[in-house]
Amino acid sequence: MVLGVIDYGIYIPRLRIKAEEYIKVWSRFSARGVKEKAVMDLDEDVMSMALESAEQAVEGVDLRDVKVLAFASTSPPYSERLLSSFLVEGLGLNRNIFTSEHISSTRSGTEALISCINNLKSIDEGLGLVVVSDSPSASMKDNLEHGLGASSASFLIGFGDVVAEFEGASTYVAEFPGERFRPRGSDRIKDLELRGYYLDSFHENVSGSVKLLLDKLGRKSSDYSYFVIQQFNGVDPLRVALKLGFTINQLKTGFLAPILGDTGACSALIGFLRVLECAEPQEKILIASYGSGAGSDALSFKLTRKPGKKGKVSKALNKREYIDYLSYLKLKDAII
Amino acid sequence: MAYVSIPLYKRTIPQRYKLIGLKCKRCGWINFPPKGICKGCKVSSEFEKVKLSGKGTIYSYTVITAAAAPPEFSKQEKSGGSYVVALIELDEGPRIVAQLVNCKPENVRIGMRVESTIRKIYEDEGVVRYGFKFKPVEESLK
Ligand SMILES: [Zn+2]
Repeated sequence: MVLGVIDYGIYIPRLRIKAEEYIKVWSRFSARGVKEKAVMDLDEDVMSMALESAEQAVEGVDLRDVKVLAFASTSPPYSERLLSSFLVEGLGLNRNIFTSEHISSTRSGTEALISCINNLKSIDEGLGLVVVSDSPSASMKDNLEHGLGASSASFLIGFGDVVAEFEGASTYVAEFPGERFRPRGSDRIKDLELRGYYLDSFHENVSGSVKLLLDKLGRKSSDYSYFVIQQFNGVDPLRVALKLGFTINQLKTGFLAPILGDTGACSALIGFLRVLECAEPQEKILIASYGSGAGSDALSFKLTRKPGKKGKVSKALNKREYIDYLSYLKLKDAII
Repeated sequence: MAYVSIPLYKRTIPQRYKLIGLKCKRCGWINFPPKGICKGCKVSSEFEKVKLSGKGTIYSYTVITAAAAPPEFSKQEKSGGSYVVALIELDEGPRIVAQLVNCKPENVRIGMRVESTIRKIYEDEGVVRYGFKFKPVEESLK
Protein backbone atom coordinates (compact mmCIF):
# COMPACT_ATOMS: atom_id res chain seq x y z
CA MET A 1 0.00 0.00 0.00
CA VAL A 2 1.04 3.59 -0.64
CA LEU A 3 2.84 5.20 2.27
CA GLY A 4 3.46 8.90 2.72
CA VAL A 5 2.59 12.20 4.34
CA ILE A 6 -1.06 12.29 5.45
CA ASP A 7 -1.03 15.64 7.21
CA TYR A 8 1.40 18.14 8.65
CA GLY A 9 1.84 21.00 11.09
CA ILE A 10 4.04 24.06 11.24
CA TYR A 11 5.03 26.48 13.96
CA ILE A 12 7.11 29.57 13.36
CA PRO A 13 7.59 31.94 16.28
CA ARG A 14 6.05 35.27 15.33
CA LEU A 15 9.05 37.42 16.26
CA ARG A 16 11.44 38.43 13.47
CA ILE A 17 14.68 40.35 13.37
CA LYS A 18 15.99 41.93 10.17
CA ALA A 19 19.57 41.83 8.93
CA GLU A 20 19.65 45.65 9.19
CA GLU A 21 19.37 45.38 12.98
CA TYR A 22 22.64 43.45 13.04
CA ILE A 23 24.25 45.92 10.66
CA LYS A 24 23.34 48.82 12.98
CA VAL A 25 25.22 47.14 15.81
CA TRP A 26 28.00 45.14 14.13
CA SER A 27 28.31 47.06 10.83
CA ARG A 28 27.86 43.76 9.05
CA PHE A 29 25.63 40.74 8.79
CA SER A 30 27.39 37.51 8.08
CA ALA A 31 24.50 35.25 7.02
CA ARG A 32 24.62 35.56 3.23
CA GLY A 33 21.21 36.02 1.62
CA VAL A 34 19.25 36.08 4.89
CA LYS A 35 17.04 39.20 5.03
CA GLU A 36 15.29 38.39 8.30
CA LYS A 37 14.87 35.45 10.61
CA ALA A 38 12.41 33.95 13.08
CA VAL A 39 13.17 34.27 16.79
CA MET A 40 11.60 32.52 19.79
CA ASP A 41 9.97 34.64 22.48
CA LEU A 42 11.15 34.39 26.11
CA ASP A 43 8.53 31.78 26.95
CA GLU A 44 8.98 29.66 23.83
CA ASP A 45 11.45 26.83 23.48
CA VAL A 46 12.12 23.91 21.17
CA MET A 47 9.65 21.69 23.04
CA SER A 48 6.81 24.23 23.13
CA MET A 49 7.23 24.86 19.37
CA ALA A 50 7.33 21.10 18.79
CA LEU A 51 4.04 20.54 20.62
CA GLU A 52 2.35 23.34 18.68
CA SER A 53 3.29 21.96 15.27
CA ALA A 54 2.61 18.35 16.31
CA GLU A 55 -0.91 19.25 17.50
CA GLN A 56 -1.73 20.54 14.02
CA ALA A 57 -0.37 17.39 12.37
CA VAL A 58 -2.54 15.01 14.41
CA GLU A 59 -5.67 17.18 14.41
CA GLY A 60 -8.72 15.03 13.81
CA VAL A 61 -7.02 11.62 13.89
CA ASP A 62 -7.62 8.85 16.40
CA LEU A 63 -4.51 9.20 18.55
CA ARG A 64 -4.60 5.50 19.41
CA ASP A 65 -3.52 4.80 15.82
CA VAL A 66 -0.21 6.64 16.26
CA LYS A 67 2.33 3.83 16.77
CA VAL A 68 5.64 5.57 16.11
CA LEU A 69 7.00 8.95 17.13
CA ALA A 70 10.31 10.36 15.91
CA PHE A 71 11.58 13.64 17.33
CA ALA A 72 14.48 15.71 16.01
CA SER A 73 16.32 18.83 17.12
CA THR A 74 19.91 20.01 17.49
CA SER A 75 18.99 22.26 20.39
CA PRO A 76 16.64 20.56 22.87
CA PRO A 77 16.50 22.04 26.39
CA TYR A 78 18.16 18.96 27.89
CA SER A 79 21.24 16.95 26.82
CA GLU A 80 20.04 13.93 28.76
CA ARG A 81 16.50 12.76 29.46
CA LEU A 82 13.76 11.63 27.11
CA LEU A 83 12.25 14.43 25.05
CA SER A 84 9.54 12.47 23.24
CA SER A 85 7.74 11.84 26.56
CA PHE A 86 6.79 15.53 26.63
CA LEU A 87 5.10 15.10 23.25
CA VAL A 88 3.43 11.80 24.19
CA GLU A 89 1.93 13.51 27.24
CA GLY A 90 1.15 16.83 25.58
CA LEU A 91 -0.61 15.21 22.64
CA GLY A 92 -2.21 12.41 24.62
CA LEU A 93 -0.59 9.61 22.59
CA ASN A 94 -0.54 5.96 23.58
CA ARG A 95 2.07 5.20 26.18
CA ASN A 96 3.11 1.99 24.42
CA ILE A 97 4.40 3.96 21.45
CA PHE A 98 7.90 3.46 20.03
CA THR A 99 9.79 6.75 20.13
CA SER A 100 13.19 7.75 18.73
CA GLU A 101 15.11 10.98 19.20
CA HIS A 102 17.56 12.43 16.73
CA ILE A 103 19.65 15.24 18.13
CA SER A 104 23.25 15.37 16.92
CA SER A 105 23.28 17.38 13.69
CA THR A 106 21.12 19.45 11.37
CA ARG A 107 20.56 16.24 9.36
CA SER A 108 18.47 14.95 12.27
CA GLY A 109 15.14 16.15 10.84
CA THR A 110 15.32 13.85 7.82
CA GLU A 111 16.84 11.11 10.01
CA ALA A 112 13.64 11.25 12.07
CA LEU A 113 11.48 11.21 8.94
CA ILE A 114 13.30 8.19 7.48
CA SER A 115 13.35 6.39 10.82
CA CYS A 116 9.61 6.93 11.30
CA ILE A 117 8.84 5.71 7.77
CA ASN A 118 10.96 2.57 8.22
CA ASN A 119 9.53 1.78 11.63
CA LEU A 120 6.00 2.24 10.38
CA LYS A 121 6.72 -0.01 7.37
CA SER A 122 7.88 -2.74 9.74
CA ILE A 123 4.61 -2.53 11.71
CA ASP A 124 2.67 -2.23 8.44
CA GLU A 125 -0.32 -0.41 9.98
CA GLY A 126 -1.27 2.69 11.87
CA LEU A 127 0.28 6.14 11.84
CA GLY A 128 3.68 7.62 12.52
CA LEU A 129 4.43 11.12 13.74
CA VAL A 130 7.62 13.05 12.96
CA VAL A 131 8.23 16.18 15.01
CA VAL A 132 11.16 18.41 14.18
CA SER A 133 11.83 21.59 16.12
CA ASP A 134 14.97 23.63 16.25
CA SER A 135 16.53 26.89 17.34
CA PRO A 136 20.31 26.55 17.21
CA SER A 137 22.33 29.08 19.19
CA ALA A 138 25.86 30.44 19.16
CA SER A 139 27.83 33.15 20.92
CA MET A 140 26.56 36.64 20.10
CA LYS A 141 30.12 37.47 19.01
CA ASP A 142 30.28 34.61 16.54
CA ASN A 143 29.59 35.15 12.83
CA LEU A 144 27.73 31.87 12.88
CA GLU A 145 25.11 33.39 15.18
CA HIS A 146 23.80 35.94 12.68
CA GLY A 147 21.80 33.51 10.56
CA LEU A 148 20.32 31.25 13.25
CA GLY A 149 16.53 31.09 13.19
CA ALA A 150 13.81 28.95 14.76
CA SER A 151 10.85 26.83 13.66
CA SER A 152 9.08 23.50 13.95
CA ALA A 153 7.66 21.12 11.33
CA SER A 154 5.61 17.98 11.96
CA PHE A 155 4.50 15.23 9.62
CA LEU A 156 1.84 12.61 10.07
CA ILE A 157 2.90 9.52 8.15
CA GLY A 158 0.52 6.77 7.15
CA PHE A 159 -0.85 4.41 4.52
CA GLY A 160 -3.54 4.90 1.89
CA ASP A 161 -4.95 8.33 1.11
CA VAL A 162 -1.73 10.32 1.39
CA VAL A 163 -1.01 13.91 0.35
CA ALA A 164 2.51 13.01 -0.78
CA GLU A 165 3.68 9.50 -1.53
CA PHE A 166 7.12 8.50 -0.24
CA GLU A 167 9.16 7.13 -3.14
CA GLY A 168 12.51 6.41 -1.53
CA ALA A 169 15.52 7.73 0.37
CA SER A 170 19.31 7.56 0.17
CA THR A 171 22.02 8.64 2.55
CA TYR A 172 25.64 9.64 2.08
CA VAL A 173 28.08 10.05 4.98
CA ALA A 174 31.68 11.30 4.86
CA GLU A 175 33.94 12.32 7.74
CA PHE A 176 34.64 16.08 7.79
CA PRO A 177 36.11 17.08 11.19
CA GLY A 178 36.24 20.69 12.33
CA GLU A 179 33.05 21.82 10.71
CA ARG A 180 30.13 23.33 12.69
CA PHE A 181 30.04 21.53 16.05
CA ARG A 182 28.94 21.93 19.64
CA PRO A 183 31.30 20.61 22.32
CA ARG A 184 29.89 18.50 25.13
CA GLY A 185 28.37 20.69 27.84
CA SER A 186 27.97 23.76 25.67
CA ASP A 187 24.78 25.16 24.19
CA ARG A 188 26.60 27.16 21.53
CA ILE A 189 27.61 25.87 18.16
CA LYS A 190 30.92 27.01 16.69
CA ASP A 191 33.12 26.45 13.71
CA LEU A 192 36.66 27.20 12.52
CA GLU A 193 35.56 29.64 9.80
CA LEU A 194 36.87 27.49 6.96
CA ARG A 195 34.19 28.42 4.44
CA GLY A 196 35.69 26.71 1.40
CA TYR A 197 36.16 23.48 3.32
CA TYR A 198 32.55 23.55 4.58
CA LEU A 199 31.26 24.11 1.07
CA ASP A 200 33.32 21.14 -0.15
CA SER A 201 31.72 19.01 2.52
CA PHE A 202 28.23 20.30 1.76
CA HIS A 203 28.74 19.67 -1.95
CA GLU A 204 30.21 16.19 -1.53
CA ASN A 205 27.56 14.96 0.90
CA VAL A 206 24.50 16.51 -0.74
CA SER A 207 25.53 15.45 -4.24
CA GLY A 208 26.34 12.01 -2.82
CA SER A 209 22.86 11.39 -1.40
CA VAL A 210 21.06 13.01 -4.35
CA LYS A 211 22.96 11.02 -7.00
CA LEU A 212 22.41 7.77 -5.11
CA LEU A 213 18.68 8.41 -4.92
CA LEU A 214 18.30 9.48 -8.56
CA ASP A 215 20.16 6.31 -9.64
CA LYS A 216 18.03 4.16 -7.37
CA LEU A 217 14.78 5.61 -8.75
CA GLY A 218 16.03 5.79 -12.34
CA ARG A 219 15.41 9.53 -12.46
CA LYS A 220 17.19 12.67 -13.52
CA SER A 221 17.11 16.06 -11.82
CA SER A 222 14.70 17.45 -14.41
CA ASP A 223 12.05 14.88 -13.40
CA TYR A 224 11.49 16.94 -10.27
CA SER A 225 9.30 20.01 -10.09
CA TYR A 226 10.79 20.94 -6.72
CA PHE A 227 14.15 20.53 -5.03
CA VAL A 228 14.39 21.49 -1.36
CA ILE A 229 17.91 21.69 0.02
CA GLN A 230 19.35 22.32 3.51
CA GLN A 231 19.59 26.09 3.98
CA PHE A 232 22.39 27.18 6.31
CA ASN A 233 22.29 30.57 4.60
CA GLY A 234 20.46 32.21 1.72
CA VAL A 235 23.11 31.94 -1.00
CA ASP A 236 25.56 29.05 -0.80
CA PRO A 237 23.04 26.17 -0.82
CA LEU A 238 21.49 27.62 -4.01
CA ARG A 239 24.91 27.72 -5.68
CA VAL A 240 25.56 24.10 -4.78
CA ALA A 241 22.12 23.08 -6.05
CA LEU A 242 22.71 24.91 -9.35
CA LYS A 243 26.05 23.13 -9.70
CA LEU A 244 24.20 19.84 -9.26
CA GLY A 245 22.05 20.73 -12.26
CA PHE A 246 18.91 22.04 -10.57
CA THR A 247 17.31 25.33 -11.58
CA ILE A 248 16.08 28.34 -9.64
CA ASN A 249 12.53 27.40 -10.66
CA GLN A 250 12.89 24.06 -8.90
CA LEU A 251 14.47 25.67 -5.84
CA LYS A 252 12.60 28.88 -5.16
CA THR A 253 9.37 27.57 -3.58
CA GLY A 254 11.09 25.64 -0.80
CA PHE A 255 13.89 28.09 -0.18
CA LEU A 256 12.96 29.92 3.01
CA ALA A 257 16.32 30.82 4.58
CA PRO A 258 16.00 34.42 3.31
CA ILE A 259 12.95 34.95 5.54
CA LEU A 260 13.47 32.42 8.37
CA GLY A 261 17.24 32.08 8.71
CA ASP A 262 19.00 28.79 9.33
CA THR A 263 16.42 26.68 11.13
CA GLY A 264 18.82 23.78 11.69
CA ALA A 265 17.15 20.38 11.70
CA CYS A 266 13.95 21.99 10.32
CA SER A 267 15.61 23.72 7.41
CA ALA A 268 14.79 21.48 4.45
CA LEU A 269 11.57 20.22 6.04
CA ILE A 270 10.01 23.67 6.46
CA GLY A 271 10.79 24.15 2.76
CA PHE A 272 9.12 20.81 2.04
CA LEU A 273 5.97 21.98 3.88
CA ARG A 274 5.85 25.11 1.74
CA VAL A 275 6.15 22.95 -1.38
CA LEU A 276 3.34 20.65 -0.19
CA GLU A 277 1.01 23.65 -0.15
CA CYS A 278 2.05 24.85 -3.62
CA ALA A 279 2.57 21.66 -5.63
CA GLU A 280 0.07 20.06 -8.02
CA PRO A 281 -0.84 16.36 -8.04
CA GLN A 282 1.77 14.15 -9.81
CA GLU A 283 4.54 16.69 -9.27
CA LYS A 284 7.69 15.24 -7.73
CA ILE A 285 9.61 16.69 -4.82
CA LEU A 286 13.24 15.99 -3.95
CA ILE A 287 14.60 16.88 -0.52
CA ALA A 288 18.24 16.91 0.54
CA SER A 289 19.23 17.60 4.12
CA TYR A 290 22.72 18.12 5.42
CA GLY A 291 24.36 17.77 8.81
CA SER A 292 27.88 18.89 9.63
CA GLY A 293 30.48 16.31 10.34
CA ALA A 294 29.02 15.25 7.81
CA GLY A 295 26.15 13.53 6.06
CA SER A 296 23.12 14.08 3.87
CA ASP A 297 19.77 12.35 3.36
CA ALA A 298 17.88 12.63 0.09
CA LEU A 299 14.17 11.79 -0.01
CA SER A 300 11.75 11.64 -2.90
CA PHE A 301 8.00 12.33 -2.72
CA LYS A 302 5.22 12.60 -5.26
CA LEU A 303 2.20 14.80 -4.59
CA THR A 304 -0.94 12.70 -4.86
CA ARG A 305 -3.54 15.25 -3.83
CA LYS A 306 -3.84 18.77 -2.50
CA PRO A 307 -3.74 18.93 1.31
CA GLY A 308 -7.23 19.12 2.88
CA LYS A 309 -6.73 22.13 5.10
CA LYS A 310 -4.75 24.64 3.10
CA GLY A 311 -2.85 27.71 4.10
CA LYS A 312 -1.24 26.61 7.38
CA VAL A 313 2.22 27.31 6.02
CA SER A 314 1.55 30.73 4.51
CA LYS A 315 -0.32 31.73 7.66
CA ALA A 316 2.65 30.77 9.82
CA LEU A 317 5.06 32.59 7.51
CA ASN A 318 2.96 35.75 7.48
CA LYS A 319 2.46 36.17 11.24
CA ARG A 320 5.32 38.53 12.05
CA GLU A 321 6.31 41.08 14.64
CA TYR A 322 9.67 42.81 14.29
CA ILE A 323 12.12 43.37 17.12
CA ASP A 324 15.34 45.34 17.39
CA TYR A 325 18.75 43.96 18.30
CA LEU A 326 18.49 45.02 21.94
CA SER A 327 15.26 43.08 22.39
CA TYR A 328 16.93 40.18 20.62
CA LEU A 329 19.77 40.20 23.14
CA LYS A 330 17.25 40.11 25.97
CA LEU A 331 15.44 37.17 24.42
CA LYS A 332 18.71 35.32 23.98
CA ASP A 333 19.53 35.92 27.64
CA ALA A 334 22.66 37.74 26.51
CA ILE A 335 22.31 40.77 28.78
CA ILE A 336 20.00 39.79 31.62
CA MET B 1 0.94 29.48 38.81
CA ALA B 2 3.38 29.82 41.66
CA TYR B 3 6.30 27.53 42.36
CA VAL B 4 5.19 23.97 42.97
CA SER B 5 7.17 20.86 43.85
CA ILE B 6 8.06 18.48 41.01
CA PRO B 7 5.80 15.64 42.24
CA LEU B 8 2.85 18.03 42.47
CA TYR B 9 3.69 19.49 39.07
CA LYS B 10 3.85 15.96 37.61
CA ARG B 11 0.35 15.18 38.95
CA THR B 12 -1.07 18.30 37.31
CA ILE B 13 0.63 17.78 33.92
CA PRO B 14 -2.58 16.70 32.10
CA GLN B 15 -4.23 20.02 32.92
CA ARG B 16 -1.07 22.03 32.24
CA TYR B 17 -0.04 20.49 28.91
CA LYS B 18 -3.38 19.67 27.33
CA LEU B 19 -6.22 21.24 29.34
CA ILE B 20 -7.75 18.07 30.71
CA GLY B 21 -10.77 18.94 32.84
CA LEU B 22 -13.29 16.91 34.79
CA LYS B 23 -16.90 16.67 33.65
CA CYS B 24 -19.36 16.02 36.46
CA LYS B 25 -21.32 12.82 35.93
CA ARG B 26 -24.24 14.23 37.92
CA CYS B 27 -24.76 17.77 36.58
CA GLY B 28 -22.47 17.93 33.55
CA TRP B 29 -20.44 20.89 34.83
CA ILE B 30 -16.92 21.07 33.47
CA ASN B 31 -14.45 21.55 36.30
CA PHE B 32 -11.19 23.19 35.33
CA PRO B 33 -8.75 23.11 36.92
CA PRO B 34 -9.92 19.70 38.21
CA LYS B 35 -11.47 19.72 41.69
CA GLY B 36 -12.40 17.12 44.31
CA ILE B 37 -16.03 18.21 44.56
CA CYS B 38 -17.94 19.53 41.54
CA LYS B 39 -18.18 23.30 41.41
CA GLY B 40 -21.55 23.06 39.62
CA CYS B 41 -23.68 20.91 41.92
CA LYS B 42 -21.36 21.10 44.94
CA VAL B 43 -22.05 17.46 45.85
CA SER B 44 -20.77 15.07 43.20
CA SER B 45 -17.23 13.72 43.09
CA GLU B 46 -17.87 11.45 40.11
CA PHE B 47 -16.18 12.75 36.99
CA GLU B 48 -15.03 11.82 33.54
CA LYS B 49 -11.93 13.35 31.95
CA VAL B 50 -12.51 15.68 29.03
CA LYS B 51 -10.04 17.58 26.85
CA LEU B 52 -11.05 21.20 26.58
CA SER B 53 -10.90 22.98 23.22
CA GLY B 54 -8.58 25.70 24.50
CA LYS B 55 -10.85 28.33 22.96
CA GLY B 56 -12.42 31.06 25.01
CA THR B 57 -13.26 34.73 25.46
CA ILE B 58 -11.63 37.41 27.57
CA TYR B 59 -13.95 38.16 30.49
CA SER B 60 -11.70 40.70 32.14
CA TYR B 61 -8.00 41.46 32.29
CA THR B 62 -5.31 43.36 34.07
CA VAL B 63 -1.93 44.68 33.01
CA ILE B 64 0.89 43.55 35.26
CA THR B 65 3.78 45.97 35.51
CA ALA B 66 7.29 45.20 36.66
CA ALA B 67 6.77 45.89 40.36
CA ALA B 68 3.73 43.63 40.70
CA ALA B 69 5.12 40.59 38.88
CA PRO B 70 5.29 37.36 40.87
CA PRO B 71 8.82 35.92 41.27
CA GLU B 72 8.52 33.22 38.59
CA PHE B 73 8.05 35.91 35.97
CA SER B 74 11.08 37.91 37.06
CA LYS B 75 12.97 37.12 33.87
CA GLN B 76 10.07 38.34 31.80
CA GLU B 77 9.72 41.39 33.98
CA LYS B 78 13.41 42.25 33.68
CA SER B 79 13.27 41.94 29.95
CA GLY B 80 10.92 44.81 29.76
CA GLY B 81 7.69 46.22 30.85
CA SER B 82 4.23 44.97 31.33
CA TYR B 83 2.17 41.99 30.27
CA VAL B 84 -1.46 40.98 30.37
CA VAL B 85 -3.12 38.52 32.70
CA ALA B 86 -6.70 37.75 31.76
CA LEU B 87 -9.73 36.05 33.23
CA ILE B 88 -10.81 33.85 30.37
CA GLU B 89 -14.17 32.20 29.99
CA LEU B 90 -13.54 28.93 28.22
CA ASP B 91 -16.11 27.81 25.65
CA GLU B 92 -16.90 24.84 27.91
CA GLY B 93 -17.83 27.19 30.77
CA PRO B 94 -15.03 27.44 33.32
CA ARG B 95 -13.31 30.76 33.93
CA ILE B 96 -9.56 30.63 34.42
CA VAL B 97 -6.78 33.11 34.96
CA ALA B 98 -3.93 32.96 32.47
CA GLN B 99 -1.33 35.11 30.83
CA LEU B 100 -2.09 36.58 27.41
CA VAL B 101 0.71 36.52 24.81
CA ASN B 102 1.20 37.82 21.24
CA CYS B 103 -0.81 40.90 22.15
CA LYS B 104 0.17 44.35 23.35
CA PRO B 105 -1.70 45.57 26.46
CA GLU B 106 -3.32 48.41 24.49
CA ASN B 107 -4.84 45.95 22.01
CA VAL B 108 -6.62 43.73 24.54
CA ARG B 109 -10.42 43.94 24.56
CA ILE B 110 -13.05 42.32 26.75
CA GLY B 111 -14.88 39.81 24.60
CA MET B 112 -11.80 39.11 22.47
CA ARG B 113 -11.56 35.51 21.23
CA VAL B 114 -8.47 33.68 22.45
CA GLU B 115 -6.96 30.21 22.20
CA SER B 116 -4.50 28.32 24.35
CA THR B 117 -0.81 27.92 23.52
CA ILE B 118 1.80 25.88 25.31
CA ARG B 119 4.65 27.96 26.74
CA LYS B 120 7.57 27.76 29.10
CA ILE B 121 6.21 29.11 32.36
CA TYR B 122 9.45 29.18 34.32
CA GLU B 123 12.54 27.18 35.10
CA ASP B 124 13.52 26.03 38.57
CA GLU B 125 16.54 23.92 39.57
CA GLY B 126 17.25 23.31 35.90
CA VAL B 127 13.80 21.88 35.22
CA VAL B 128 11.61 23.68 32.71
CA ARG B 129 7.96 23.98 33.74
CA TYR B 130 5.53 24.22 30.86
CA GLY B 131 1.93 25.30 30.89
CA PHE B 132 -0.72 27.08 28.89
CA LYS B 133 -1.06 30.73 28.12
CA PHE B 134 -3.56 32.28 25.75
CA LYS B 135 -3.16 34.20 22.52
CA PRO B 136 -5.66 36.11 20.39
CA VAL B 137 -7.37 34.01 17.71
CA GLU B 138 -6.02 35.46 14.45
CA GLU B 139 -9.27 37.04 13.28
CA SER B 140 -9.48 39.20 16.39
CA LEU B 141 -6.03 40.68 15.72
CA LYS B 142 -7.33 42.66 12.77
ZN1 LIG C 1 -21.78 18.46 39.35
